[in-house]
Amino acid sequence: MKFWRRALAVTAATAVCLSGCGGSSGSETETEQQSEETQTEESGETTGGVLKFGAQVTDTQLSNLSPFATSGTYTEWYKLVYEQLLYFNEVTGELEPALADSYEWNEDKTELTLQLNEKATWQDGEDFTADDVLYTYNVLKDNPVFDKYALWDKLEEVTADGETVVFKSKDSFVSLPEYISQIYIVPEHIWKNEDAATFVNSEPIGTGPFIWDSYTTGTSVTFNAYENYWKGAPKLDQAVLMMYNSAANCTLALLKGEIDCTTGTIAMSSLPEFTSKENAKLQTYSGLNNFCVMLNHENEQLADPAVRKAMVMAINQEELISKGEYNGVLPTYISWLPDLFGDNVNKEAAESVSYNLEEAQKILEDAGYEKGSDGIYAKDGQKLSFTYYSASGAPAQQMEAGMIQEWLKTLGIEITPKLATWAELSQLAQNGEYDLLQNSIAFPPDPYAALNTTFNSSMTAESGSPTPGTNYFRYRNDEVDSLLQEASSLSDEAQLTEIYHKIQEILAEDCVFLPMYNGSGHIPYYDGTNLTGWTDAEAPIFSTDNLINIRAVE
Amino acid sequence: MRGFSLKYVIKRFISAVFTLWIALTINFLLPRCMGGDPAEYLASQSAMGSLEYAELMKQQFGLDKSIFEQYILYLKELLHGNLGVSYMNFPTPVKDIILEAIPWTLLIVITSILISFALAWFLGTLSALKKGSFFDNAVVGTSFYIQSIPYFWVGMLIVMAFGYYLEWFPMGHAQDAAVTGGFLAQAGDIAYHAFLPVLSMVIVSLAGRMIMMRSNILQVFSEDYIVLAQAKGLKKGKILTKYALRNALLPSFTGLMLSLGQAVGGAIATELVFSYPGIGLTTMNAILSHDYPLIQGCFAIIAVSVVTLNFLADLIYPLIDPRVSLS
Amino acid sequence: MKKEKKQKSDSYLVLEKYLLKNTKAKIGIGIIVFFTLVAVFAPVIAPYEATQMDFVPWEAPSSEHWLGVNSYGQDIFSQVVYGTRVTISVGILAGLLTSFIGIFVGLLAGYKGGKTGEILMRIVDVFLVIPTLAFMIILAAFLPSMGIVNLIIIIGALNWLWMARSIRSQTLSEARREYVDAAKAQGMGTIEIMFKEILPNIIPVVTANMVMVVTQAMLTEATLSFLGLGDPSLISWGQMLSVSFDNNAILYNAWYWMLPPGFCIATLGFSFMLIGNSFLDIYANDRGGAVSL
Repeated sequence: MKFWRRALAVTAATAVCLSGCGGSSGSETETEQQSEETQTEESGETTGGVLKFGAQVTDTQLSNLSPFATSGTYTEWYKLVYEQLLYFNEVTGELEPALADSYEWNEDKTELTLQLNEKATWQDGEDFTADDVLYTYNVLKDNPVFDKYALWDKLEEVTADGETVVFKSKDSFVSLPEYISQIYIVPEHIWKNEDAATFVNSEPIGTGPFIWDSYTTGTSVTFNAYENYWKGAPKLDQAVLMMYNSAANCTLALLKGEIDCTTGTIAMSSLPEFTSKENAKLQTYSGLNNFCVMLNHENEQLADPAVRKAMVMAINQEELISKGEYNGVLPTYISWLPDLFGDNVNKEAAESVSYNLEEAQKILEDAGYEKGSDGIYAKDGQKLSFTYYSASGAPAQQMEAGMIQEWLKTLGIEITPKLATWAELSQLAQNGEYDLLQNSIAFPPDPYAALNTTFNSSMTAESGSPTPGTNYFRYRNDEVDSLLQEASSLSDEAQLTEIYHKIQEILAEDCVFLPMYNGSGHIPYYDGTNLTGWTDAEAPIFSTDNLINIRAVE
Repeated sequence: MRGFSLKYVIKRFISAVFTLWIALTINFLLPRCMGGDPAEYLASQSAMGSLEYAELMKQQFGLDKSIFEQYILYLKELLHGNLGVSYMNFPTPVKDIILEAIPWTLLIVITSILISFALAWFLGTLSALKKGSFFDNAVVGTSFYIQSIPYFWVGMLIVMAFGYYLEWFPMGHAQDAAVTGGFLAQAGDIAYHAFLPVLSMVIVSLAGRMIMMRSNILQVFSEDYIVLAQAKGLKKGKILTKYALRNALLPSFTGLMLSLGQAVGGAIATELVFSYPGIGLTTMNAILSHDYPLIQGCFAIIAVSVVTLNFLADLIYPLIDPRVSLS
Repeated sequence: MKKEKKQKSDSYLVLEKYLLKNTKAKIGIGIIVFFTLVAVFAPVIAPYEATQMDFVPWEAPSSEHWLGVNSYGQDIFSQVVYGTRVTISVGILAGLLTSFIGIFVGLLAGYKGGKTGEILMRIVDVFLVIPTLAFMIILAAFLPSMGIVNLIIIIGALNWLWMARSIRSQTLSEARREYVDAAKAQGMGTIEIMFKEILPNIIPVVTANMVMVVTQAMLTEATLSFLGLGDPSLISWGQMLSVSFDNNAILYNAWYWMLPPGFCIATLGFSFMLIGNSFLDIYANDRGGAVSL
C-alpha cells in the first residue's frame, strides 16, 4: 500500500510540474500547496489569485453556451462573462447601470430610452455598440422560443441612434427595465455569421470581467481575468468553476476547503457544519421563486377559506425552515411578494398569519367541522381528506413534505401522500389534477407580473385543462382582478405600490396557498481563508462588483 | 459443421436488425409513456408557465405532430445518424452531448470489465481446481459477501476512505484542469482520477463473475466426456486447457459481450458517487427532465452497440461450443 | 404401504442431506430467520417510530440511540429495524417473480427452439439492449406512485432477462443430449420433458440464478432508492443510504449512519448466496461432479 501511495504521489507531482507554466492552481487534493503558490505570486503585486467556485452541474448542462439557452442549461457562469443593459441587484432589489449607464421614461411609459455604456468593450477587443443591443433583441423577436418573457408581445420596436437605444412598446410597459435586466447582450460581430437558433456558442465572448478560457469535460471551466473590463480589471488572475454531479459532493469539496464558494449549491443539512468553520459565511437573499403547497381551490372543501386558513395556521413555518432548510432560506410570505421587491412588499400582510394550532382547530370548529373518532375533522359527513403531491428523487422535499403532512394530520386532516417527478408535478399543477401539491412557482422580477401571472383569474383554467399562467391554484377573486386591471394602466410608482399592497392584503386574508420558503440565493463562501474582498451586504457574491474586488489574502 | 455458412450469417444479421428496430421503437415509445410534458415543464421553469410559450416549444420540438409522424421522422433522422436536438439544452445536438460523455463511461466501464474478467477467470479457475480447500472457501465466502453489497455503497466507502480521510486519490472528476502538460502527464492524470471508480466497479463485479466461472468449471468437470477423458488417462492440465476451460468460458464469454450494455446503466451510481462525467448520469438526468431526444439518443447508442456485440457473439458462439451446430 | 414408506424416507434423506447436515445452509437460514423475526416484530424491537423526528440531529450512538440520530433527528436504529421489512419483502417477492418468469422462458426457449424459442429470445434480446436500470427509472417515473407493490413488480418483471438467457443456453446444450431423445422416444410431452427431464439436470444453474436474483432484487431496490426513485415514505436500507449520502454523513463522521444499512443488505444477501451455493455443491457431488485434478 505504501508503495502505491508514493508511486501515485509522484505521478501527481509530475503532472503538476509539467503544468507549472499553465496556471497557478495546484492539484485539487493539495490545497496547502495551492495557497502557498498563491502567496508567492501575491508578494509584490496587488493582483493574483484564483477563485475556485463549485456548483452542481453536469457535463450536459454545459453543452450549450448560448446565453439564449432555455431551461436545463447551467446559467450561473453567464454572470462572469456576459452582462445585461441593466443589472438587477437581488440583494438590494435595485436596478443598477450595466451596459446602459442610465434610462429614462417618456410620460406614459411607452418609450424607454437608454444611454449605452461607452467604456464597455468585448473581450476580443471590439467596441460594444448599439448594434449589439439591436441584434440581441432581434434574435428574441425572430426566435420566440428564446423570448422567455414574451417581451415582443408588448414591444413595438427597438431602435438606436448612436449610443442611445429606444424601446417602444404598444402600451405602457412599466416593468420593462426589470425585464431588460434579465437579457444578456451578445456580440453582433460574432453572432451575425451564425444562425442564432442553432448556435451553441462554444467560444463565448462577452463584456464581463472574466473570459471563458477552457473547459475540462465534466471537471471544470477556467475563466481568465479580462484586463480591460470597464469597471476595472479583476484583482484575481483566474476563476475556476468546479463541477460536481451531486449537491453532496459539492458540499464535501466546500467543507474540505477545496473550493472558495459555490454558486448556491450546498446540502442544507451541512449548513451548521459549514458555518462552524473558520471564515465561513453565508450570503442569503430572496430569489425569484417561492416554494409553497398549492391548494386547488376547485376542490369543494379547499374552496372554504376557513379550511385554508386553518391549514396555513397549522404549519410551523419557522420549524420547517430551521429543520428542513437549516435556516439557509427566507420564508415565502402568505402575501407572496418576497423582500427583493423592496417597498412593494406589504410587510404587515406578510406577517398577518402565524402558526397557532389551537386557533386553527377553533377556526375549523367555528366553521362547522367536527372531529370524528379517528381524529379527522368532517362536515356533513364528509371528512377533510386530501391527496398531497411532492417531488420524487428529492430527499429534502420529501422530508419537508413529511413534516407538513404530519402537521396537517395533527390538525385533523387526512392526507394521502403521492409522488411525482418534477416534470409531472408541473403538469399536474398546470392541469389542476391535485388537491395539495408541493412545488415552487417562478416569477419575473416585476411585482405586477409576479402578482398577475399567479393570481389573476385570467391566468387560470378549469381543473382538467392547462392554465395559461402560473395561477395553478384556480384562484379567482374579482377584487384582485380589478386591482390588477387598474395597475396595468397606471404609471405612477407610488400609486402602483399602494395597489400592490392592497392585493397582498387580500391574498393574505384568502390564504391562497400554504407558504413554505422562498427559493432564495444562499451562497456559502470563505472570507479571509484564501480570498477576501467580498461585500455581501450590497450585492450578490456573483455580481460584477464583487467579482472584480475579490482578491487573494495578503 | 465448423465454420460460417453464409445462410447462418445472413439469418443472424436479419434478426439483429429486427431486434434493433424493435428496441429503437421501444426507445421512441418509452419516454412518451412517461407522465409530464417536456414543453410544459420547460415553460413552467423559464417562462412563468405561459401556455403560449409551451405551445411554441411544442412546435419547436415537433411535439405538436401526431405520434406516428414523430415516429417516422425519428426513424428517418436516425438512419442519417441524426439523433436530434436536446430539449433541455436546446439547441445542442444530442450527438454532441453523447460524444462528449461516452468516452468517459467507456473508459471506466471497459477497464473495469476487462480487469474483473481477467481476475475472475483466474481466481475462479484456481478456486475450482482447489475445490474444498481453505483458499476456495475463503475466496467463495468473500465473493458471496461482496456480491451482496450495493454498488454505490462500495463507492461511498471508497470515497470516504481513499478520498476523504487518506486523501490518496481525488474524491471526484475525470481529470484536473491544471494538468496541461504532455500526453503522458494527462494520461497519468486521467488514470489517477479513474482509479477509484474503476476499483469500485471491479470489486463489485468481480465477485459475481468469479463465482460464475468457478461453477461453470465445476459443471464442465462433471460432464461425461471429461470423466471419460480422465478415465482414458489424459493429463489434468490437458483436460483443463483442452476441454474444461473452453467450455466453461462459453457462458462468461456471452456475458462479457452483453455486460457492456448493462454496465452503462450500472455506471449511473458510480458516476453519481464519484462526480464522474459519463453517459449513465446523462441518461438519468435526461429521463428525469423528460428530454426525449436525449433519452432516445442514449438508448439508441447503447442498443446499437449491444446488438452489434450480440451479433458478433452469435457468430463466435458455435466456434467455441462444439455442441451447438451452426444450423 | 411399503412404497409410501420408502418415499417418505427418500424425502427425509433429501431433507437431511440438503438441510440438516448442511452447515452453510443452516447458517444462511439462521440469518434469514433472524431478519424475518426482526421484520415481523419491528414495532416491538424498535424503540421509536421510524419517521419520528424528535431528536437532536447528528447525535452519535448512545444508550438512548444505539445507532445515533440522523440529520433529520430520526433514530437510526429504529430505521434499520423497520427497513428490514421493506428490503426482505421486496427481495423475496421480486426474486420469486423473476425466477418464475426466468425459468419458464429460459426452458421453453432453449428446449422448444423453432418459432417459439426464436420469438422468446427476440423479446429477451430486445429488452437486454435497453439498460435495465434506465428502463426501471423510466417505469418508476411513469407509474403514478412507487409503492412497495409497484417496486416489486418493476424489479421482478425486469430482472429475469439474464436468468432466462443463462438457462436457455444451458438448456440448449442439454436438449441435444441422449436422454432427451430417449424421453422423446418414450412419447413424453414438451412440458413434461422440460420440467421433468431437463430442469433437474440444470438445477445447479437454476439454483445459482434464483439465489442471485433475490440478492439482485434487494440490491436493485437499494439502487433505485439511492437514485431517489423509491417510495420515500417506505424506509428501506437503500433509502437510508441514499439520505446519508445526500446529507454528507461522511463529514459528520456518521459511520453509524452509513455502515449499518450496507452491512445489513450484504449480510442478508450473503445468507441467500450461502444456501444456494451449498445446494449447488451437494448436487454436483451427487452427480459425481467434482473431478479432482
